[in-house]
Amino acid sequence: MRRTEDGKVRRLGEVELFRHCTPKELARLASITDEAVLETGQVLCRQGEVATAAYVIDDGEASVKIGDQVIGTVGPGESVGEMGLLDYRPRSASVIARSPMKVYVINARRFESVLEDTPTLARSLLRELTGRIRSLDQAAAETAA
Amino acid sequence: MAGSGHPGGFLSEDEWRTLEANGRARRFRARQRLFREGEHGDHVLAIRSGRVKISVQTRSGREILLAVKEPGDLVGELSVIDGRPRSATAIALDPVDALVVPAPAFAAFVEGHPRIAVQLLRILAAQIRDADRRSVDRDTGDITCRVARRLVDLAERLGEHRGSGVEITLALSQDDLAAWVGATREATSRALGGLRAEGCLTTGRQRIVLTDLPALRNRAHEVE
Repeated sequence: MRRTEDGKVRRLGEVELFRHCTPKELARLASITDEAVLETGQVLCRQGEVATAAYVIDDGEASVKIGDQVIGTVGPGESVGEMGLLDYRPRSASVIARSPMKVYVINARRFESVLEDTPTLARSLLRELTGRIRSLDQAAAETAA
Repeated sequence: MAGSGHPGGFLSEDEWRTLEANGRARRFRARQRLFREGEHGDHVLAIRSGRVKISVQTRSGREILLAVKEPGDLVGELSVIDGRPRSATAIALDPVDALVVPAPAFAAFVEGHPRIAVQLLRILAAQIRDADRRSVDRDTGDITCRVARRLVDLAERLGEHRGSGVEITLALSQDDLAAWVGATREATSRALGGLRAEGCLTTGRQRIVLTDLPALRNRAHEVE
C-alpha cells in the first residue's frame, strides 16, 4: 500500500502543473487520485467532450489524435488534460491507449475541493501558471520580432 | 454590472465589498497607461468600466497586442502572484474606472477566500489557452482567415448588435490588429480591404461593423 502511494506521489510530482508542489501537497493530491487499467484501444478521453478528470500515465502508451490524425504519443510520467482540472473546457484531442496502460486519475471536482482546503497547493499552482503565461507572452514578442 | 461598480461574475457581492474596502478607486483617461512592462508591480487592478489593452514590445520596438480586458477582469495579477516585474504594458482604450488593490491586501484576500484562488487559477488557465490559440492562429490560415478569426472573436466578446450587423467600437489601430494576427500592417490592411469588398464588413474611425457575421465566420474557419 505504502509503495503504491509512493509511486503515485512520484508520478504526480513529474506532472508539470504540480512541479512547484511540496511533498505534503503531492501526498494530499495522491489521496484523491485513483488508479485505472486500460486495454489497448480503450479511449482515455474523447475530443470535444468536457473534461472531468486528468490522467497521469504510469505505464503504457497512448496516441493523441485530432480528428483522424495522430498528432503524437504520450507515455509514462506524462499527463493528459491537466488544464481541464481547472477550466472544464472541451478536450482538444482524443487520447487512445496503444498498449495496455496503467494511469492515475484525478477527478476535477475532488481536485477543486482539495484546492479549497489546501491553500498552499493553490498557491503552488498559481506560481506555475503565472510562469507559463510569462513565457508565452515572451514567446509572442520574440516570434514577432 | 459595470455601472454598479461590481466587476461581473468573478467575485460575489460580499467578496467585492471586502476587496473594495482594501483598495481605492482610480480613473484613467483613454490612452493613459496603467503600468508598463518591466516595472515593479505592487498592485492589481479590477476593472469596473472601460477596456484595457495588454501588450508587449518586441526587441525592434513593435507592439504586440496580447489581450483586451473588460469590466470584471483583473489587470496586473501576475506580478502580485509571483512578485516579479510587469510582464506587459496595460493602456486604457476608453476612460477606465478601476479598483486598485495593493499586493499584500490582495494576497491576504486570496488567502482568506480559497474560492478566489480557484477562480484565479481558472482565469490563468483561460489565459494560457488564449495564448496557445494565438500561437496556433499565427501558424495556420492565410492572413484574411486570421483577421476574420480575430474579428469574430472580438464580435463575440465585445460586439454590439446594430440592425443586421455587429459593431465593434474599439480604439484599436490597424497596427494593433496586425500585431494581433501576426502580420504586417500592409497585409492586414489588404485583408480588411478584401473582406470589405466581399461585403463582410464596413470600417470607420475606431469602429468596424461586421455586416455579414456568418460569411466572416466561414472565412475564419478556412484553413488551407
